[in-house]
Amino acid sequence: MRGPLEWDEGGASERTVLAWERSAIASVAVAALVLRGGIVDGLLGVAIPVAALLVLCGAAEWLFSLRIYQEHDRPIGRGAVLHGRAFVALSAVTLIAAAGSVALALTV
Amino acid sequence: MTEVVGASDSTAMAGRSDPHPRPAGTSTRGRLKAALQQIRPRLDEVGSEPDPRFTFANERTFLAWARTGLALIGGGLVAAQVLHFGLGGARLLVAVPAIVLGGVIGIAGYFRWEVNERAMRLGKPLGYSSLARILAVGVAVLALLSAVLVVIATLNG
Amino acid sequence: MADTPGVSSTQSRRGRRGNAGSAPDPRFSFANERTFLAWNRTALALIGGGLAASQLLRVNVEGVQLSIGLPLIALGAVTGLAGLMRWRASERAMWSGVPVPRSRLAPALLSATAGAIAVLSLVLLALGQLRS
Repeated sequence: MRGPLEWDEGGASERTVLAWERSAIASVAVAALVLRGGIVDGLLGVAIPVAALLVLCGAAEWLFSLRIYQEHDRPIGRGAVLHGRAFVALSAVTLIAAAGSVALALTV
Repeated sequence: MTEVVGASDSTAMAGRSDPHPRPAGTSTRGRLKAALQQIRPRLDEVGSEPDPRFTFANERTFLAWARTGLALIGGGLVAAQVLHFGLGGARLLVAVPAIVLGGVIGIAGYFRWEVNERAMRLGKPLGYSSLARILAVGVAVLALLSAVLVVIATLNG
Repeated sequence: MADTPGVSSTQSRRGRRGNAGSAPDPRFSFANERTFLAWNRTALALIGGGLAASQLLRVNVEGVQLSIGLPLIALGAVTGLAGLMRWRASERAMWSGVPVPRSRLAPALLSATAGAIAVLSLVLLALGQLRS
């Protein structure tokens, strides 16, 4: 098993893990806001699916944060970089959140 | 790929000529552009490409400033709406500085990003930014103001 | 480039994505990844902020909630897209061994919006339009 210095030079893995965790928090926070908006405006048919998507996003982001540290024998040289589709999915959910928020905003 | 393009070529690169040479006797607009080019050359034409990690880090730093600015503005608006100190318009004492601080940080963050990018391209040190100090002092003042107002409001019953 | 130490067979297969390029240093990819996440969080912050503004702002002037809330949400959507596009362009550039392109419009737009929202808020406050 490699030593920690060789394994995660510059802390890039660790910082990436933290970035994923921050993103998870942000996703869940906006999910809560959307849900609140749905409850206040009575547009639950939009709010609940959008909030659910965002929570799923948060869960996925948290899971992504785990994958880098999970395999301790995976040195950074072999990388643990995600395939582009994960990012497209994240951006898609962000867009959906925006669309849902517009709908909620318009029904005030 | 991964050749770290570093600071060593900066002197050679800094004097790079304008890739879009203009003919003599151009319009006023052309001359204005040329003058601006002298004072503030486009980022593309300055220095050399830094290590992409530095570019990325700079960008993330800018985004963090932008989010901080927006959060302060949002917080100020919410404070103006929601706080009740029972002292007339006292909540504006908290709301207005928060919003002003947020706007200043949001805009200053952009210039900080550009200055850093330029410095990295030229291989110069990043230089000191007063942005962090402004934020720290601003937030401390806001906290102090809020605390004082809360105490006064509570004392007033 | 296949002799680059640390590049496993999985990664040289990924060279399909680029034009006969090879996997960049994973630290660059990680940095790219973190930057994408930062853009996404900023987008979410804008969307959340716009949503909150449209609901929580009670203003005496008609339609102000929407004129602050909707642009914020729209900017959030744009920011999210910009982050994705930037990530892709950077990843492609790194695989091809070309300098990473720099986003210019999005940062300027973001900052300008922050400033505009600040000014607008101050004007609203000054005109005493916020109901309490």
